Amino acid sequence: MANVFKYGKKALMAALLLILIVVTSACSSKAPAQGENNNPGMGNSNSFGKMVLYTSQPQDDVTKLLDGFKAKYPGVDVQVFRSGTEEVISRFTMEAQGGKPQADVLYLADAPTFQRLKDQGFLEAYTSPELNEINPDFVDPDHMYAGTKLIATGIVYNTSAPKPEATWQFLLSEQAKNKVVMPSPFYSGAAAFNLSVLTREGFAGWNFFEKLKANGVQIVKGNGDVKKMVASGEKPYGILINFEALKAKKQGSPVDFVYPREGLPVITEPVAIVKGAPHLEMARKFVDFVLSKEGQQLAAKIGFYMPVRKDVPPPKGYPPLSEIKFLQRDPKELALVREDDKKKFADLFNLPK
Amino acid sequence: MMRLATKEKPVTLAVVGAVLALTTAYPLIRLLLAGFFTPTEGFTLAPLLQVVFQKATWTVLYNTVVVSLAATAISSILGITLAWLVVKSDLPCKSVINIATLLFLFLPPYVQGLAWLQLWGPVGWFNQLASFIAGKKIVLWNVYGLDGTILLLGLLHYPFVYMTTATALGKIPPEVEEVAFTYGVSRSRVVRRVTLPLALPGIAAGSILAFVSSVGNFGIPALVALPAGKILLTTYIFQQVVGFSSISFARVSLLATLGAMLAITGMMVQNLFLKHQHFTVLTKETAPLCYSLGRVRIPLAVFLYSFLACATIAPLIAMFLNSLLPAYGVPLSLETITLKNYRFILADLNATRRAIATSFILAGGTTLITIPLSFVVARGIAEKRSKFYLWADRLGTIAYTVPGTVLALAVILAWVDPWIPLPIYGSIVMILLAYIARFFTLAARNLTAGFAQLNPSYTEVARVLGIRPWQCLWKISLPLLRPNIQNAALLVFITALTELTVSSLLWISGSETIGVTIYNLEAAGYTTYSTAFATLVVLFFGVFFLLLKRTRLQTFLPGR
Repeated sequence: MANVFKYGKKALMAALLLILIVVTSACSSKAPAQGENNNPGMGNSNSFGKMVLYTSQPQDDVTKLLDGFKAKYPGVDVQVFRSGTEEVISRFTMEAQGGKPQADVLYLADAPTFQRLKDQGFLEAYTSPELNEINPDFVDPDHMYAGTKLIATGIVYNTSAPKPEATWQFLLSEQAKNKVVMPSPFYSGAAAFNLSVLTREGFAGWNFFEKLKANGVQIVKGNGDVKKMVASGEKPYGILINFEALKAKKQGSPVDFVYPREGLPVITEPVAIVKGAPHLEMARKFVDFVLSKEGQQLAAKIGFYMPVRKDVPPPKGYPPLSEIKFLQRDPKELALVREDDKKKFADLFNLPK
Repeated sequence: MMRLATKEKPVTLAVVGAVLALTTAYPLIRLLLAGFFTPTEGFTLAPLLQVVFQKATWTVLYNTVVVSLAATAISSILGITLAWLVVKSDLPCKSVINIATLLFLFLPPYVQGLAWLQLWGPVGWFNQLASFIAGKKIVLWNVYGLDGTILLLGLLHYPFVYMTTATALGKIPPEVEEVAFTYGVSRSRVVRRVTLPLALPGIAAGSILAFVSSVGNFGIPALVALPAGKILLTTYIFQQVVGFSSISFARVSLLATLGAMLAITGMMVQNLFLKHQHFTVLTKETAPLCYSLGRVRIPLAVFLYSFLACATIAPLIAMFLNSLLPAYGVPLSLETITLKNYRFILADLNATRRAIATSFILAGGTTLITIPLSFVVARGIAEKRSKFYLWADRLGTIAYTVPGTVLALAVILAWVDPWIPLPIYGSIVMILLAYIARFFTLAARNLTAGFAQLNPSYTEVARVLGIRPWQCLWKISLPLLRPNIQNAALLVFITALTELTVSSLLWISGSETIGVTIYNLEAAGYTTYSTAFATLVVLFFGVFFLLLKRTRLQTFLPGR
């Protein structure tokens, strides 16, 4: 055997040819797939044109939500960019700073993040008729963005471990020593949000995080990693958003969630229209749909989300809204302090900032 | 050495220069400028001063250098040993090594990382086994920390060294070593003084590739080093990306520049090793000299193959078993096994097929463009001593060394508000350009290694004899470089096929890649779905390569 990676000249040519064939056939198989999206709209009197959505919602949820939207507005062609919150925001910011925002609607993250986009002048105000049914705490006073769901952060645990007491103090107890995992505020926007909220609450403060460190908390990248580590039993307890925990439980993972009685920081995944959106009409219709009773029911059903509307009950598995104490802060304040809080956190945990 | 002055045709130079300028130089220049111009303040040196005077920058850089060098050492030792055993020894069942190497290349890093956590995490299989044997809960070793990062990066990148070294060793004519033996030189001395130096271009190319890959890897440090409180350059850069402020992006740009300088330093060090060129007579049909391993032959094979099995099959099995679980963390038993994940993936066959098709188009396109491109560049460096091509090659590494997220942001920056009025923003062409920039160096390393071994006197003689340049290329250079071209094509194709970080920022409806699909499922909390999808992808390509073998289009699997 002269050469490990040996094959004849003919074989090389054939391989190249094969790649070409695959590429061209893939090209041709792809073209109609794209056409399918456009076809229903063409020549149809109900055609509603196009819209571009940037979101970090799970792919499956987006698809189903859009199915509902398209049923209402047949023929609308919605282009989606879905990725991690950080990826979506940085792409949007980059495009907006370049003077050519591509998105019509943003649908992700938390109020402080949108506050910052608002301060940078990237958002367009819109008073949706649906806002009446939504707690004003979750809506921007200038109607630049509105919350779409309630995602609360509490304590997740592996069901093979003893059920934790419903208090944040549990995480500082002897029972939880070296057994707690939390997401890093440097990678997860939700974690950064929680940090700013909790450090401003009397019952927690920076003292809480100092003690967490002393109790041997492990910091991982994001909420997904926390969920996996708790589900596999690597760490029996974790700080996690309820949505991830309850969804994993519903799928059958050995995890459950407790709601600390002091209260839970809550993220609202706002929706907003981009300033200069090329498809403004459609964007407004989409925001209306997301906030409508129908849209909220759909989100609760397919995505297992806790609705932001008062008149839509949460899916089974959630406690009634009245039993949870939500911790809130002014998004303006939170937007200003986030970077400083992250620096303090880095100092505390001896991480580079 | 006397050499005939050969001038590059201006057309070739212009085309290659234009492609590289458009794909690599232009976005990187925009990125670098962003380090000094912020949207709010205009020109500013504040970010530069911040980066330079922050102690964290240098701690992080130091960690990155140490980890990358150590990982490169592991990759090189493993890669060279395996290559030597396969090409120059009578080890039994050598094809196992080839298959294992291919598997390593095929499994995307994010899949491997997860699998390793499952094997070597604090409650991973090995520690559970150890606890079971010991009768109490013990942790022998866990993968979190810089040691785990080094080991994983070293393993992940050994195929680079293996492939380039095996190719280089295969080209050494047996006569050279035989002559040494007739002078009574000992075997180990021949290996040290003759064989390895002759294979040096290949070894160096593979090692530098392993090094820059380690510098630029984000997934492993995020998964394994971060939970131990250790930050490397790529994870540090990502922290700044998440900072979102205009200053923080300037810092991203400057930190990425630091990483790029690290890679270019590596390339220049590599050049020192290649100062003395090692031309070999290239004979196509002669088999390389094989050494008998004697008594250690069988034990060595058993040891090696069990090691490789642990390193490649185990992650595969971990991935496969996970894909059978109803939800992450459910204990595996006959009652819990389910095929529902596969049903989910196959139910949306259209999306799955579309992702595979998009990845195929991108990987195929990238391969078809990077190979000729790097061929011209490598030839320019070897035959024409062109400074232009030398620096094109060095700078071409940068797009591979910066984290994929940063490259993607640079591409967005470059094309959303372009200096050159090309309306490609948001199209698949933009992703293709980004891929060409990113994977150029994978091809270029293999081809420069090939040209470094190619004796330029062949083409010179041919030219003296009046043979036309294109004939010369077709009859001499191409056949002699075929193994290098194959390696380059294989590497670029597979890496592009499973690429994640660049496409996860650049895709839009209808152009999701395989990587994006897995990531989207994973990010949505459907770990079991994403493992099912990854299993299907591996199966798909397993069948693909089996068919290749069947149709006698044998590629990489020897032993026909």
